[in-house]
Amino acid sequence: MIRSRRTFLYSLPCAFALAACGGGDSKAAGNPANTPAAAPTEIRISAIPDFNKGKLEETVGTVVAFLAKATGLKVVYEPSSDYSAAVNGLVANKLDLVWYGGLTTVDAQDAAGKDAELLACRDIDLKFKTYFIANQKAIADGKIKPITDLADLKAMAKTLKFTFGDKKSTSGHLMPRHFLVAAGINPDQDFAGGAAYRASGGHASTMQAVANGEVDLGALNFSYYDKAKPEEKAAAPIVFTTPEYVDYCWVGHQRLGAATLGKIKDAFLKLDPANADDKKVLDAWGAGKFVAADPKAWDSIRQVKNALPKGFLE
Amino acid sequence: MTGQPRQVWWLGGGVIVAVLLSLWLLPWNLETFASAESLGDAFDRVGRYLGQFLHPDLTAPAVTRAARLAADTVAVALLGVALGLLLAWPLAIGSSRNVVFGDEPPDAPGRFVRSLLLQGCRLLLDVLRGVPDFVWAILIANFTGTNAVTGMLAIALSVAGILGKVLGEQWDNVEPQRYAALRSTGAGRLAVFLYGQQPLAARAMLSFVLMRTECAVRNASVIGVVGGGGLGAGLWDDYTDGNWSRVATMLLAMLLVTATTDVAANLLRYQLRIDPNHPQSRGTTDRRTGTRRRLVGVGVVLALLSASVWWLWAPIARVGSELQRLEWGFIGRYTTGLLLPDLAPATLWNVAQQAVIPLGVGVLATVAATALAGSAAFFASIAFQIEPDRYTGERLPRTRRALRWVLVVGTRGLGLLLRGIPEVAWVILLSVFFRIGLTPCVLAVLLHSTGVLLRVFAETLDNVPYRRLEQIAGACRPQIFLYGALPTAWPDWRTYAFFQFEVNVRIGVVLGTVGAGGLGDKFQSNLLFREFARASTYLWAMVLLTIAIDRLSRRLLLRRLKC
Repeated sequence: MIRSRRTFLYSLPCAFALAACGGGDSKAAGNPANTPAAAPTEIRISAIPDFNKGKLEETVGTVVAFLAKATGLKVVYEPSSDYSAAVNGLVANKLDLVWYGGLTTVDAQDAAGKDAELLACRDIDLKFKTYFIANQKAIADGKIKPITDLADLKAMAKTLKFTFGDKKSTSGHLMPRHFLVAAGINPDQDFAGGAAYRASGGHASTMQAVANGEVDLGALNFSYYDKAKPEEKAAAPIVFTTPEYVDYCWVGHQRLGAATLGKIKDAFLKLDPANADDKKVLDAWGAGKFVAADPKAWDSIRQVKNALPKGFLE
Repeated sequence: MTGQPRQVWWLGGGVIVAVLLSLWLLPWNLETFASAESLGDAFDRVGRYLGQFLHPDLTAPAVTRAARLAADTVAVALLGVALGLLLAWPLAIGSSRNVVFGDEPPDAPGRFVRSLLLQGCRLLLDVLRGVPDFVWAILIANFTGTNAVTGMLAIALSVAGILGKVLGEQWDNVEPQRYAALRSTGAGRLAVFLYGQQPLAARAMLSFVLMRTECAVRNASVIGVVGGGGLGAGLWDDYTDGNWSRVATMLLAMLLVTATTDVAANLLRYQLRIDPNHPQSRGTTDRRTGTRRRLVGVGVVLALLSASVWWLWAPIARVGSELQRLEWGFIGRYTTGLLLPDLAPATLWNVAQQAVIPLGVGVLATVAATALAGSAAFFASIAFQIEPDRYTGERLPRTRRALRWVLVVGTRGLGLLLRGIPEVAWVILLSVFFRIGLTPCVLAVLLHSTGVLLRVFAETLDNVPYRRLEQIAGACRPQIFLYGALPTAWPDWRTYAFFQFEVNVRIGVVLGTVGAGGLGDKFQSNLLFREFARASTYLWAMVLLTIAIDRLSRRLLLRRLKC
């Protein structure tokens, strides 16, 4: 209640300012800030920076044109500086529609409440996986060998340099940490020098660090790995695959209005792999197809997040 | 001027204890040296990437991209410093004892309000300065996005903190006799400031602003790593692509930009020096030349700033409409959350432990860099390599003289290279050999600050009047250096080294996010995991560290920075 009253209060001066302009600035007048009732003129979309900037722009580019066509609105891509910025941007009326990971989807639900609407996710997001990949040389030297049970890693961990991905990545940090802890491994103490993280560049950065031997072992998004160049894969083979979990999701803000949100959702669900144009979008996103997102599915991520020992934050 | 013997012992002993503690407490990663095999692996890795690295991508698209990003970087730095100066000016006035109190009696009305103002301004400056520009960028980018405006604002905030403090101190340090005439005619505090202290300190201030601009260019070239735009964003993209030829292109562009500003700023500062006692004094200039120079200077600055605004117009133009549509209620809650720390004893104890890393990085890198730069300064000094004939009467054959010029230019060039590559970029390069962890971070700070200190050390050395060296002219050059020049230069070196220590601790915080761990790493983790109260504790700890080091340097009665 407080939030909506604040919204109203803040929209007042804007409304006066617009009235004073006398509608001369038609672009601003058509899209008064923070007024959910008004039909939007543009959609600001973003995505968590799970790859480096170049790769992300390439992927998001395919969806910009497709969404503009589906909604008849202008679609603008706003890069997000980090995972958390993508969440804050949605609440702060900087972004309207964001491609989140599992953990950030939960954050967006918590931060924006009912205003955050989970729209669609890829087929693969309901059965997502993390790969543990190791440096080829470390495998050849026998420092590490492919394992079937993470608990087997404990014996080798002392000599291994390990990196997670971004701290807020579901597949690069949250879930691999969860599975390691479940296997009796404390990543902050058991690996040589504790676990490292990637400051930026997401999964591409993890792949690079493992491939060039800066670390022996890394945890990353299986979908990124599957699409990587063969020579990179050869330099960093998979040693372990985690069980499946829920991950990425398109989340929209209610300020877009139910009609627009509905159009966006339909457009994603209607993407048809048999249609050549649709196939391009699906391929860019690594999706077979998009399916409707059931918010309850992400509760499992919330549980993992809450139950995880938080020593790494202290 | 070497201080009382007691103080020397305390200082020396303190430094040795700090070094030993740092060596012992820091979580080194030295697995590269664990065995002959792992060392071989490290050289393999370097060899593999060196091939690509030594062949920078100089194709047209790569060069155009680098040029565009380099222009972004320079524009971000210039506008950042300009905005920072605008913000620093009023805060510096508020934090200057002379302006706020003047020589009014202690029981003058409004004393309490004024001291509140003074302490408030000083605290604000400490906060602005204590939070590194990287951290400002992480905080701001949430609402301004990943673009040049973020970098500009982040640099403006941190520059404001540094400039505000130094400006205020410089105004307070003007000797009172120099504006006594003004005061005796009944001028008020503001008039004394405007017509007395401010103009008298203007030259030193300008020199310091030039130095900060140069630093800002270096910082702007990496702030893109956390969303600030410019070369840093490109560097990190190419690195995560594993494209080492492009990494080399980016580093070359960085070097070009930083070295150009470095040399340009230094030439300008040289022009500002009018000390007639200086061995290479330019002498004073007449009024007309002075006015002409000033006009040209103002013109050039305005032209550069306009060009920067024009270049970054697209993101700047959007700021207004973006600010209007942002939901300020949320931003207010977010900011308040970050200002209110979690003060539970367990958290405080954790914070204290995490602070060891940036402190240790600062101590080790600064002490080693001081020793390295101190020795290298001898080889980079004009006074000791080129002009000893002015005080020893030695006559050198032309070839020896030429060789010495090579030595001077080579050492100075090395310094330029060391400081031209920012710490974060050094970490990327060194991590290939040492692997991710603390060691490459300490070395990165060490290398960079050696470059920074080498220049100011050599400059101080060349400022030592030759008549001081004549007294022991019978000795050989290293002896003259040790017993003649060093005692004179040392107090200045010590001040520079201490200032560099403060800077290096902040860099230690920043590098936490790229592998060093500690304060910066934990702050970012808590911010990302939305544990705002704990993130706030870490944020305040950064500020407290800076304040503590600042107060320590005052207690040690270090000389003020001369510019």
